[in-house]
Amino acid sequence: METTLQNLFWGFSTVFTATNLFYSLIGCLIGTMVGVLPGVGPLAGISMLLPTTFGLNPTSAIILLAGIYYGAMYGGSTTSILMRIPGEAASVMTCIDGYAMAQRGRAGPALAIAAIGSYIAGTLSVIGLMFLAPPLARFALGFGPPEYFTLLLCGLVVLGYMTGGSIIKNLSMIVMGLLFGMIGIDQMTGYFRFSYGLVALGDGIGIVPVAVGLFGISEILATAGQAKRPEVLKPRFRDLFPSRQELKDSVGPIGRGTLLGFLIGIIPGSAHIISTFVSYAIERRISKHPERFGKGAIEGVAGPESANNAASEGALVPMLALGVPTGPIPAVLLAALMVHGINPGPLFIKEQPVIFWGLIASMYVGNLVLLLLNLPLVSIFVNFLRIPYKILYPTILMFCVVGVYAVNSSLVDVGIMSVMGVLGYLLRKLDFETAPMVLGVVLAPIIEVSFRQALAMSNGDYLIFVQRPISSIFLLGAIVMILLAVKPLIWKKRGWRDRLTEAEKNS
Amino acid sequence: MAVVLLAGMPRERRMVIDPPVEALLDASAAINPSTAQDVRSSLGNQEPICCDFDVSSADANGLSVPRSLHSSRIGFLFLEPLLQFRQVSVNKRFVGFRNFLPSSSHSEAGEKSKMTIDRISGGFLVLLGLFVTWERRVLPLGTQGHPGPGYFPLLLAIFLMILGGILVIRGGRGESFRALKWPEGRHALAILGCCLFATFAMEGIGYRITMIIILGFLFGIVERLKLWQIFTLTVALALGTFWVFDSFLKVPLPRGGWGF
Amino acid sequence: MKYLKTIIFLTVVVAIATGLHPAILKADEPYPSRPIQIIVPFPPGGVADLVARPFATALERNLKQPVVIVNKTGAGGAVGMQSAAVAKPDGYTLMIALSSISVMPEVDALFGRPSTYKLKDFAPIALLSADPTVFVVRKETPWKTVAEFVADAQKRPNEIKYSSSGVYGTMHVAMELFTHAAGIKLRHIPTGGGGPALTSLLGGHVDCASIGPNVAMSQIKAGTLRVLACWGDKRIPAMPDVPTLKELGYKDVEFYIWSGFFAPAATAPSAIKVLREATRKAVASPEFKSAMEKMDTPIFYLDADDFQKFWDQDAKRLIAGVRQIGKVE
Repeated sequence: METTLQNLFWGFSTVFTATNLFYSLIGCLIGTMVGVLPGVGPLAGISMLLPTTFGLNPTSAIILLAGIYYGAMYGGSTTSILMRIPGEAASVMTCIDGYAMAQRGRAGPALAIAAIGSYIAGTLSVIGLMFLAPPLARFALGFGPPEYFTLLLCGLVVLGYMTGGSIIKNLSMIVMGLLFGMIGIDQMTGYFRFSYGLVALGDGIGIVPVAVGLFGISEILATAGQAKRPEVLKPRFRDLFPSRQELKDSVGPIGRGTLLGFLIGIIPGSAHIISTFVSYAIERRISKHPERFGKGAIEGVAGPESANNAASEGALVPMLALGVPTGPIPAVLLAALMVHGINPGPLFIKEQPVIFWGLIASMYVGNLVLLLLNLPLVSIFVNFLRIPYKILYPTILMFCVVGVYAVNSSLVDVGIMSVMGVLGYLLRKLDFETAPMVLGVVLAPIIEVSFRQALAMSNGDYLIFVQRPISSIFLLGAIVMILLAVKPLIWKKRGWRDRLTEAEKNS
Repeated sequence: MAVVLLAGMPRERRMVIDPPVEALLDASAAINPSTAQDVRSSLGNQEPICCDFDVSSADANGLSVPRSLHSSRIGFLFLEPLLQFRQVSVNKRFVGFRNFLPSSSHSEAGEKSKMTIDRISGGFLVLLGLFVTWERRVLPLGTQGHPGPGYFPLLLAIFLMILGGILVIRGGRGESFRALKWPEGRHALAILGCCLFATFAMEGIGYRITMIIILGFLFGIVERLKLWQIFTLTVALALGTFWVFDSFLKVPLPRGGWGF
Repeated sequence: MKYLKTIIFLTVVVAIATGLHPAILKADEPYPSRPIQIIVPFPPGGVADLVARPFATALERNLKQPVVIVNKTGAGGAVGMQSAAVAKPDGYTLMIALSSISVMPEVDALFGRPSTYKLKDFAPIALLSADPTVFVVRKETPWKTVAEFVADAQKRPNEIKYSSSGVYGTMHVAMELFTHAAGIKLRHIPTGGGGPALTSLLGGHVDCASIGPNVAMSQIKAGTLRVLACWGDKRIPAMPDVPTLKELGYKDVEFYIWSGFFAPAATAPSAIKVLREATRKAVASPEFKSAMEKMDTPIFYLDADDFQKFWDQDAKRLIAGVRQIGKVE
């Protein structure tokens, strides 16, 4: 503890040099900008700036890139709340309640709470990172294919709590998403599945085109032609701040979101977006007024936003502690270090304390900078809503096209985005929820591959799922949750959904 | 309260003053969101009312309600006192429904048509499941212990068909397909056309030209802004974003056959 | 009158389109007269990318034109390779690819699909690096030499597990070459890439793997992995105590993760000559050398003709390996 604080102090002294502060600031600015642009997410932002970091010293380089990384998580919520377009794939859940709040004139508080929640989550995660990195990383490595499968099975079951509406329809959305997620090369055998000769579909249809298309393009398609769009009133100054009630309501979700996001983030290979879905589902489940979700419940913004920031920092844990990339973004960060001749491995923290503690200290500073940057910008952003929609939507459309294209220089992605846009539009008309489909697309490859890998590991023996301790715990959890969900059908007592019914009836 | 509601209704509906409950419910079903706005504005823009009765896609019972019916809940709640006169306690009926039924609504009073949206969507799901099953035939299934690439798609396709089947069977109570309104349809088609044009043409003729064409089309022909507005916005946005991405962020955007 | 707006609009468009493009203005100038694009079919931060970027900077200096890297990922590299194969052969679109280029068409043939490109679609310009992969095992395993490992594997076939970055990927084919030569059978657990494969190994879910030497170095130093052999022709300078599989008696079991610089086959020979010269100078430049040194990736430069020979030999080995693997069920 003593040495940790000493090292931290030392890290701060590294950070508070003019150059490193400057790079931290630039990283946060670019990160926010990258997050705000629809489609372009932190991965694209970091890859864009990777070459420019070759000339810097490693500490500054990693500070800059990490700033972009968590900065993008702050910016991603802005377009989600204001225009229902996910700024980056992980902000999909914020679109739902955030936009609903914006429509009711509470865009300012939504943006503010998103920023505050992100800040608290970010700072707490850095503390976790600081103290617990090595043991947590070792724990995370213990997650093998059977654990992934049972964990994600739990995640899918949790989804049952995520959205209101008919369970049949939600289930069919998830299944459709899962099917879409299976397009591409089968990882275990090399077969091309459902790709019809388009090599570009080899890696699947990608989460970015799907998220931007299903939420963003479908939103434009649905609202552009509406005869009378609800006029956005000029927000009064005090409408920009969250009310005391909203702040109070957010404390719980922020705390839970942070913990959840961090834990999910440290697991190698999990996508940040999963933490947002789970956070939303849990908030809805334990809320006393679940009927408010989907119509502008502040918990639906605070929880997912905190989860997603915590997950992004949690993803750095195995990377820094063991030199193992947990996803494409930490892989690029690792590469940035490798270019400077530093090969992060288990000895990274010991051998390169300057970089490690400099990075930790910069994350504290960066989170604070982002909070101070985003709060005043709230008033500017809210005024974006007042631009006449007929000028706004072609601009948004253009940014979506560019953003989705820029991710992989691929026009097939733009095509997928358009198709998903139409699909989202039709689904809205036919009264389906689109969020579960996004989750299906994200989860499908991981769940299926983990299942088959687990079976490959055990040579066909299904018992492997119960033989390993962590896996059996999750499996038990999933079974329990399924039983709980099915209970009302069997017991005819007032289950959760019936109570929801009553609450909505009386509201 | 019912009078207040009627005040906000479109003119042609005001004739309905003392109707059977069914017809009133029909009328409220036809209120689309913009009319709900009328209701709000005619009530003097009083915040509390619209916020209390704000709607989502799930109605009171956890059953999904078609969006065009949303504002009908305003009508519905206003109409409760009237309902009591008819001794039809619609509430009781809803509470009794199991929560896994697909979208239902007040429609036992109204639509008897078979072509409900639920049936159609259920039908699509079944078709999709069949399609997947057909396409999957080239992928080996593997065994129980070593599932092949076709295993999960088949499983999911079967599941999808079951769900679609349930929707078709139980979907009789949904909103009729014909009642779906598509007011924004032509706009949506234009925007979709632009997206598809971008998809196919951008690499061929370059980013800037494609964007100029698309933005020009949207601003000029679809939205009919003034000429100088079209010109400045189009050029500024197309060239500006190109500069930001290509020169500043070094993300190459396609330059088309002529190198532009 | 109704169409006046449309006419004005179209005129403006045409005016801008023709007025602003530079290609008309610069017709006959020596190559290169425009920025050059190098397609890297792998995600940023991967091996190919890390070699390509310092190389592009060095090349820029020699060619006096901006050299831009475009990452076109997908399908294990097939997407980027296909786009390079069909690109205009004017010398302004080039590619840096890894050894997996030889494997893709063979895999396509195996599955009866039309191949996305053919090896003949590319003209090699130079080989930039060639790292042999190394055989690592977890530190908890009892094997200290390859002989021990092979003996154990023969006693319990299909029990020992290894991870790979994907079916027919570099880690898979390398291991298959070895196991085929040694006559043993191991259980293959494919993952989604080099990162997850390493994670799987470190987490104890598999027992061994064949990975790139620079990735292995840091883990070996920390003691989490032990290296038993390498797939090279000669011993790796950074690991002088590690025998090559060739030394241990497994003939023709060589595998390199090499990165090469290619152009579309129909590119004009004059342009290729310019590129070869520039590459030669770039590879010898101190900045490129120091960049590669920092990444623990030794430069292994072969000019076009030698590279073609190397490539042919390597491709033969890899294709034989893929055919041995056959279709994975």
